[in-house]
This record gives sequence, C-alpha cells and structure tokens, in this order.
Amino acid sequence: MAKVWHLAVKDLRLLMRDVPGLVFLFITPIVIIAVASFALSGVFANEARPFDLPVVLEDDGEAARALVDALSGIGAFRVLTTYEGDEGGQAQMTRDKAKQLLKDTKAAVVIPNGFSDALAKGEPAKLIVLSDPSDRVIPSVVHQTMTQLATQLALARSGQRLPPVEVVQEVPVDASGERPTPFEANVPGYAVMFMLLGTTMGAVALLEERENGTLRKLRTLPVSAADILGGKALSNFLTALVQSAVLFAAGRLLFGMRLGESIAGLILMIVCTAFAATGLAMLLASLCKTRAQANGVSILVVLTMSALGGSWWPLYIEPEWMQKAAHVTVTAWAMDGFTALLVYGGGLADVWRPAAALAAMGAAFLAAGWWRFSRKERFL
Amino acid sequence: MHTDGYGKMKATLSGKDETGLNGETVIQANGLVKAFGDVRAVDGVDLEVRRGEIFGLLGPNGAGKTTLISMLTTILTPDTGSASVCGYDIRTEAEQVRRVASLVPQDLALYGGLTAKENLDFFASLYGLRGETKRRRIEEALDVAGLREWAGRRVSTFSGGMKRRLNLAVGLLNRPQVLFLDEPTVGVDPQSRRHIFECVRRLVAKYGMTVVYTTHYMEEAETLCDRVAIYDKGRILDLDRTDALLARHGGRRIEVRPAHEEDVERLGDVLKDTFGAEAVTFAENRWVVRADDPLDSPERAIAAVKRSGVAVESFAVREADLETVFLRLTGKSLRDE
Repeated sequence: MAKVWHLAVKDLRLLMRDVPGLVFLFITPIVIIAVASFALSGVFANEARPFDLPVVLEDDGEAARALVDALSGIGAFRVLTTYEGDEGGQAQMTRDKAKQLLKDTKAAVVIPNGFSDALAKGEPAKLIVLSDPSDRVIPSVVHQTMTQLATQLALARSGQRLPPVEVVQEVPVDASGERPTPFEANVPGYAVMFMLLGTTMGAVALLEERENGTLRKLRTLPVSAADILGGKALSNFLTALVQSAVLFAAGRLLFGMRLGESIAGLILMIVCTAFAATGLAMLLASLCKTRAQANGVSILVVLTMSALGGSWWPLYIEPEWMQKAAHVTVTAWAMDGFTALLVYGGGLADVWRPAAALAAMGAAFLAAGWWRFSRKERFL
Repeated sequence: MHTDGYGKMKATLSGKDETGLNGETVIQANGLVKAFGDVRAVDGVDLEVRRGEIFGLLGPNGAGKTTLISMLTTILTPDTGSASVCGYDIRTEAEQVRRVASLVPQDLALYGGLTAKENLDFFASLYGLRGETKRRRIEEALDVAGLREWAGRRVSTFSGGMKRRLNLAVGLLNRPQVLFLDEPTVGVDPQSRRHIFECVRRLVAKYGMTVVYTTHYMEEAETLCDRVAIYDKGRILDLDRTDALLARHGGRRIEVRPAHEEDVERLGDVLKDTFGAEAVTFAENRWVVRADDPLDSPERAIAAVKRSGVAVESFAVREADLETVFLRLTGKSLRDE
C-alpha cells in the first residue's frame, strides 16, 4: 500500500506542475458551466411526441369536463385523469399523485372544486398548473395552453367577455422552501463530463509511461503490476474527487447553486462517480496502444456519454429507447443521483441505486483493465 | 572452455583464473529462447557470469541483446530455457531477482517533470528504502553521478549526458549485486562517457558488483570488460577475454573508401575477385577486407585498387580488434548498413 501511495504522490506532483492540465481541470469547466447555464435557460421543448399530462379533476361540473375534452383534443398532450392504483384497478388522479409524476411529466393541471360553478355564475375561476422545478419549457407551454382553452371556453359559453380565468403556476418546493435554479442541473452535468475527461488524462499518462520507457523500468523493480495500476488509479481518483469538490464549491459560491438536503448523499454520489470514471479511464488505457489513440478514444467516449447520458440536456427530451440505452453510461447514473439530490431535494435513500450502479461499473471497468494490463508483455 | 558447435558456446570456469576473478557464478542461463512471431530474438543462449566481473555483450543493433537482458531482469518471460540471477530463478522468483539486480535501460527512464532528487526519492521508495538509509543512498547516487549541484533541477532541463548519468544513479539505489547496463552511453558526450566508465570501475572495485554491459561499440567492450560475448542474431558466437578472442579470430583488416559513390560496386567486384567474396564486406561507405596475411594482403589490396582504376578517398590497414573478430565470425561489420 505504501508503494501504491508513493506511485500516486509522484503522479499528483507531476500534475500540479502541469499548468495547461490544471486550467483544463478547473477553469474551463467553470467557464463552460456559466455560459451554458445562462444560454440555455430558455431551451425549447420537443413537440414532436405527445406528452403525458396528468389532470386532477376535483370539479365534476360541465365546464370542467368540457375543458378536459378540449385538452384531450390537442395532439401534443396525452391527458391522464386516472392512474393504475396499488390494487390493480384505475384510480382517480389526485394532486399528490400528480406531484409524484412531475419528475417524468414536468407539468400537471388541477381543475379545483368550484371551477364550473364559478364560470356558471360569472365569477372569477382558477386553474392550477403544477410545474417541475427542473423544467421551464413544458410548464410554460401547458400554462399558455390552459389560458387559451379557458378563455375560449368562457367565450363559447356566454358569447361575451366574462371575468378571466386565472391560470396559476405552482412549483412544489422542498423543505428549504427554495426553488431550484438551472445550476442544480448544469453544474453536476458538466462536472461529470469534465471528471470523465480529467480521468482520461490519467489513462494517457499510463501510456506515456510506456512510451517513454519508465513503465519498463518500473517492471524491473520489486513492484507488481497491481501496484502500478493501483497507483495510477489512486492518483486519478483523488484528482477526480478534488476536481468535483472545486466545481461544486464554485457552483455554490459563484452561482448560488444549492447543495441539496443531504450532504452525505452528495459525497456518496461524488465518490461513486469518481470511482466509475477512474475505472473507465484505466480500461481505456489498457485497450489503447499509444497516447494519441487514448486521447482520441477517450474524447469520443466521454462526449458520447455526455450527450447520451444527460450532461448537456435533460434525459427526458430524448426518445424512450434512448433514455433506457443511456443507462449503460456513467453519465446517466450520475445525473440520476445528482438530480434526485439537488433538484428534487432527495436524501441518501434516493441515491443508493445510482450509487450502487456506479460502484459496480467502476469495479467492472477496473477488473477488465487489470486483466488486460496483467498480460504484461502485451502491455509493455 | 569448450564449444558445442556453431552458435552455442559454454564457458565453464571454476575457481580463480588468469583474470583473477572468483569463480562463483551469479548469472546462469541455459538454452534461453525468445521469439516474436517468426523472429527469434534470443536463440538458445547459454551463459555463465561470475561474481565481480564486468561481462560484455557486444553486438550490433537488433542482435537481441536487449531481449536477453529483458529476460534476465524479469521484464520478459523466456519461451523456453531457464536462468537464474544470484541463485534466484527468473521465472518463479522474479521479485527476489528484482531485489538483487538492477537494470539501467537503454531508454532513459526518468520523469522529466520531477527534479533529479525527486526521481531518486521516488525510485528509492519503490525499493522499500526509508528514512536515513534512503537519504544516504540518494546522496551517494548523486555523488556517483556527479549531479549533486543539480539535484534540485527538473530533469527536463538536463543535457543528454546528465540524464544518462542520472539514469545510472537510479540503477544504483538498491546497491544491486548485479547491474545490467544496456547501451548506457548511447548519444552521450565523451566527458559523460568517461564518467560512466569510471563509475562502473569504481562500483566493481568498491562493492564487488557484477556488471553485464551491452554495447555495439567495440572500444567500450575492449576498454571495460573482463570477458566479452560476441552476440549476433540471438546467439553467442564466441565468449572469452578480449586478448583470447583476438588471438583466436584476430588479424588485420584493410579498409578502402572510394571517392565517388558510383564506383562502389566496381571496387567491390575487384576486391572480391582478389580476396574471395567471403573475405570482403561493405560497411559505413567503405569496403572492409580481412587481411589473413599481414604482409601480403595490403600489397594485393593496393594492386587491386590500381587495377580497378577507381579513385580512392582513403586506404587504411587496421590492427586486430573486436571489430575484426566480429567480422570474421559474422561476415559483417558491427555497424553494418
């Protein structure tokens, strides 16, 4: 273990003197995160496929039913007034259920009790649009749609302008009472991407040792192949941890990003993501023959994972099949965990599954990389 | 010493001989073979190296010297055959071999981003050295390499010669019983080369270290080594003290360099007609003729050159040296093109 430590310290010392490498690890991601977050705050929704839209029908009057019928006639929405209950049958949609579904549907409509009566009496009526805290677009679209439909409904009934129907947007807040900002989604997304890019630098460093002859020298010392790979992996892992800590701290201090309700959960996710990223880097190093090859393969793998896995845009805007496929990537599991913590205010119990998946991926990658590396003559 | 036919030579000496060396064997190799595809880089090598000797492995680039050294230092595993270093089997006791032996590789194995002292500290840590012992060994290594003044500078700022000396210093940290030097003077200035030679002699004298020295420079082998193995195409062709090799295979050689490139072939034809094709070889822009008769051969060579009508840039008669030995054993020069 002491030899592993010395091997790791040597690599970290070299990294501290690599100014371009340090800029890449710490300054570049902060700049990218700032630009992307401000630029993408008005990102548009995909209208190509119908969105599931839960509708809570608390009023069973004629106007409420007519409103639901009109909403169902719009091709962009698939109106859900019921859901499959615990006992198997269909249950009426409720506010609580609609709030639960918000993570997937991003918006829901509540037609409160008294809506139809208010319209019939010519009094102001109210509709509620429940909004997912991480999305700005779909709730806006639903809000505008409901405003339009409600106005048309009122005009159709009386032929003259009636008191307006107020459409209120409601965002469920967590225990802190704060509403998420774009940084809660963007900082983790780009942190994961740059963590993956950073650990692949470690992969390139292993190949550099092979190319410049130091690996061959190390193999003549009383040091095992496991020690060498372990030292490289440890320095990578520690670098990824420090990088993440700096990026999350920058997100908090510079952009006011929330760190969620569970610091333990956040630490767990950071550690597991760093572990998976380290394993991936070691596997890539063992598969590549040259530094140039490792650079090319690493960038390709990382950017693909980032695009597919939700670093750059929310996973839900991708087709269903792609959302499922994305979960072969480190990025998707990492984003599941960070989103649960930072956007939805979840705790340790909400991230055990993504953390376990990341830990398993890291272990599998390291094992595969070790198997390749241990065939020493091929690697030398 | 007895021979087992062309290609395999066994040197079995016991007790002290005329070199004054103790007969204890520290490296023993039997039938070592290593192939890469169709190429047999080591083709059945038997070897014994005795304690305290400087053993030279002399051969051209690509002969397989580094592959042989790589097996003895446990980097590569032999396809067949066996070997031991200080009594430890290279296959089954690799870790022990790595503790008693050290390799100074042909490629510089240093971290340019670290200082000289940091490089030494790192490698010393991997040898398990700690505290005061480590500090003393690092100081000793810096002194041996003559780099104390530059200990705090990054290796990337060093000259090639300084890097070579540091490369050697790293190999001494664990005070090995056997030191393998693989072409340690490649690309090195004459001052650094002399420094390396002095280091090697001092190490042997002070610590009784055994040195295996690979080179393609015959001058180094002649100057430094107690015994020299002539090595080519994966085989030891002959092995003995330099004077014994010269006595066995020596003889003068004649070197003729034509003035114009277009005359090379014509001159070669004439020389081959005069001396026989097997006695004439071409290397480094000159024809080299084995002068079996020290008196008659130079005259015949001069006559042949005149007959050819070729203008000659240089004509030299060289005394017997390991270059001649190599030429006689392989039919080519150590630095063949």
